[in-house]
Amino acid sequence: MRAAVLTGFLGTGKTTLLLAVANALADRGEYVAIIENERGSVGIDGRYLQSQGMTVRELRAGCVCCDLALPLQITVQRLSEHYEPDWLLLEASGIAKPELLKASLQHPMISQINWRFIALVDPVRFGKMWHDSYGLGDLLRGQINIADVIVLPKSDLVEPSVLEHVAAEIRSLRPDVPVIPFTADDPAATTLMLRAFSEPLR
Amino acid sequence: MLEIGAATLVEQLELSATNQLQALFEAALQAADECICTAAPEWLGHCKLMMDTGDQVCYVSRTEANGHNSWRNAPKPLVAATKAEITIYIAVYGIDDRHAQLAAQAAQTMLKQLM
Repeated sequence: MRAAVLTGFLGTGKTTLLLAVANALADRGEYVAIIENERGSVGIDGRYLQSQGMTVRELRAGCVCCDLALPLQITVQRLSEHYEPDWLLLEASGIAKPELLKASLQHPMISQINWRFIALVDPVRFGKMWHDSYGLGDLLRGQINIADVIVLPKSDLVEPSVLEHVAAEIRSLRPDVPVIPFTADDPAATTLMLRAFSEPLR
Repeated sequence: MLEIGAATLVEQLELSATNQLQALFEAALQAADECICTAAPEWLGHCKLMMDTGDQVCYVSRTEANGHNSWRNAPKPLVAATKAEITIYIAVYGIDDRHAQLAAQAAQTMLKQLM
């Protein structure tokens, strides 16, 4: 089983990317299971994904990095044992602390699973987040620090120069990871995402 | 410490065939945005509105103050009066409890606009 976790701020496009990748995997005949984590008591993303035919388990009203860490570990274990999916995709909440999340996913109960960390960085709101001194900047840098791949969604909504600036700032922190633009309606971008989810890109 | 102030509402609404759904939803989202802006003029987060009629599921959201509306499955016109389940989710980044109250107010404002 392959596994990937998507991190990123609220509204960055995690669900959109997840749906594009899950649909592409399903088209290849692969069985995908999704775990959705939302802070609210009622989830929207999970219900939306279910309405699109996806197998989804929701973890709500908390965060999988801390108060829902144990439910996450149990859910991962049960999904992998009972459903045996080809892929397990986890969408973290917009406040998940990256180091805690990583530690939670390395728990002995599920330590046989090798997760790829996909960090989504919103180029539209990047300036507001990167320079924020109330915690958003630190959270963003934390997401980048643990990532295996960094994705710039909504890349069609910003000028190329903005996209280059964002990529340069990220590379100043992590010159060793690929930074990939993504737009949901571009099949070639989804194909590249499938590779990024599967293997190291250089 | 950075937190998310979040609020959720789920309501059943009766929508008439004459409703201009896209305009109605965008007005509701705008009202929620303006409500949040009264206390957090540069808010970041996610205001979401989902409608499920059984026949169609539509979803629109906004992620920052005075931001643009992002649609997934824009609504198709209704052919007859329809019952719809509306889910409102407001989440705003902040560093105190005030943002949870603000999210709750914005969710109520959005619902009022829809009714």
